[in-house]
Amino acid sequence: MLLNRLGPFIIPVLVVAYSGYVIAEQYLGSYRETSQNYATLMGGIAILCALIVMARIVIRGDTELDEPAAEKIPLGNYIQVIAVVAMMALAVLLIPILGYVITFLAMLVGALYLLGVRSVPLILTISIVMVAVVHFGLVKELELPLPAGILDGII
Amino acid sequence: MNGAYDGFLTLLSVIWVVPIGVFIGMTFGAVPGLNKSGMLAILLPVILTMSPEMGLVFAMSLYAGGEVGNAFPAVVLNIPGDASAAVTALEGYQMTLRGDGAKALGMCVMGSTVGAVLGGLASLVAAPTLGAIALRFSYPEICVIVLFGLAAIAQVSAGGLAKGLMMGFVGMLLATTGTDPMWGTFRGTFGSVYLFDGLPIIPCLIGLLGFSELLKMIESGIMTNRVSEARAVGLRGVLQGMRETFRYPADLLRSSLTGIIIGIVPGAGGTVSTFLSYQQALSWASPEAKKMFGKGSPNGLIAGDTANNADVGGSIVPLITLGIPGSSAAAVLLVIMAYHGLEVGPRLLSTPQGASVAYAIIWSQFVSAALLVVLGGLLATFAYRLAFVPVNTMVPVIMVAALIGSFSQNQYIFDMGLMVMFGVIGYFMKSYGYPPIALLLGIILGPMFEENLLRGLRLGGGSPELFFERPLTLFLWFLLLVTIGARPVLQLLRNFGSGKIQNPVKAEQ
Repeated sequence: MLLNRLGPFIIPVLVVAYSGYVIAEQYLGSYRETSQNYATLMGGIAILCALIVMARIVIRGDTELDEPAAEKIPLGNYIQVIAVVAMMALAVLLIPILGYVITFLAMLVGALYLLGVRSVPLILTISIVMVAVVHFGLVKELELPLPAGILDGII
Repeated sequence: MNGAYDGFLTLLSVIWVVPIGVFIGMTFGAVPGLNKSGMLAILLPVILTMSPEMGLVFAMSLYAGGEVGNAFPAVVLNIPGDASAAVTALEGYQMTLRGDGAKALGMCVMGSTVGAVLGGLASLVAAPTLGAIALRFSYPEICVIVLFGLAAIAQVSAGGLAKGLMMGFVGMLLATTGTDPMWGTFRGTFGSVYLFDGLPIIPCLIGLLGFSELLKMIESGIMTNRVSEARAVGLRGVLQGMRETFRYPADLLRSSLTGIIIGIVPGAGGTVSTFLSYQQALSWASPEAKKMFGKGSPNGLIAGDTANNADVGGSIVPLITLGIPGSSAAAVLLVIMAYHGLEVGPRLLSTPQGASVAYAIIWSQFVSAALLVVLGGLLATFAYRLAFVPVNTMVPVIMVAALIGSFSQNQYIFDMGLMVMFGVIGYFMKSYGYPPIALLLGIILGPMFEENLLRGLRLGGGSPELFFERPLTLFLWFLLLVTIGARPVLQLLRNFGSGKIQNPVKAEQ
């Protein structure tokens, strides 16, 4: 319910915050006048549009939204979305340490289970095949330097 | 004409990727929930390893194949591959229910082929003409064209003008991240050395178009197969449908024209063209044919699918002549061009390599169109079964592909994090009607705008007069104003006509 009310404001608030940061950085730092003016122009228009968008949402709701279906979506789906984002963020943090083989394998197994796949052979097959494709196809063949982490020197 | 000939020769050297691209595009297109731009974004790491001409021809073939593939599950199972196949599902599935599924698939394939050929012809004719005009563009004109692209996308986006403009301008602000082109100082980097070279476009693109789409798929719960029964679709019926398509020449031509025009408008894309074309087919249909709309009308089906593919040819015209993509998928093509250092924008056709690559893309549409008939006809009989593949087994694989894709440009782990961040931003944008393509376009075109604006100002000694002097510039400003002002004015007039705003004279009476 809270998300339904505040959700439409997330993007305009982010726009105001980011534009404000860029403009403030220009004036607080010792930047040239042209650079300051350009940031003020772009950021100023973005902030103005964000304020108009927020004012319209406050006054008459988000009438231009195509799918106000937020209430129909089960809570479980949102939890899955959050879990997938968390898993990706964790993977980004762990790749330099554990390496891509262990991280991708763990992420694939975890994500498949999270999204409702319960067949252990299927989970293992998909995960191992995908990691093998990445290792032999991209890292070995195309020489993409993904970090090997703790497996450096072994694989 | 030299460029066209060189482009043809270039295409011949990489022609073998076209059938592969069309096949993969059709296959991906048949998977419900995965749209064309998402598919291209996810396959970006593979595309970027290819040479510029091969990568762009391959991406173009994927794009063309995807436009047909999305019709297969729409006709047979009533599950559109993406939003642009909604009209196909509406009419095609009704035909399937009355036993004409194979014929409907044949009509989709042939309608798409005709649309692709006419779209290709339009781009072949329009590109050099527009390209010649674009060559006259100087700093002020390029600035106005960039603003025009942003305004057009904002105008046609579902969220409305203010939301679209907001995202476009914040995209241009994001594009200032990194080194100042005039003075060499670092700005907007949050102190991160990874941003000193600017905001990397590929992680932003994969996040905004690919990863966010994945999150929307998970949110909407398209995780397991919705249908389990297979339907018999025979090749004979498909061929019969292909032949019958030519009984509707007016629908084929009108829809192709609609698709081409809508494709040229930046940001409008396939969904708008299919619905507009469907609406036109309904308006022009005979009273008997009108009764069939919504109940399995061949006119409606052909209108939607033809426009959907003609739109592809239209969307690459502004891409190669002005550097402004006509659709999200064309934006991915723009990123591929920029990645390979091609001169994106009005100068593309004036450089030998740029012209050769641009014409190779244009010519490849005809090869794709020919393959749509052959591959499309064969795949139509069984490709719809891809909708049975549980999406929850594909999502984790795409997650890994998205991470690797964002790493491939600079080979920084930081870029993977950036992709996740932009994916989340894209998810919220899509959830609340903010167009991600406007943000992406701002990020891509921002540096070009800033450079030309500052050069123009320097040339004018700091005065903006130069931006309002030449007749061509004034004409472009006029077009920009019309683009921004047309919708609100029309809405106002409509409200006035329907009495929402009271006529003051009437009110007094």
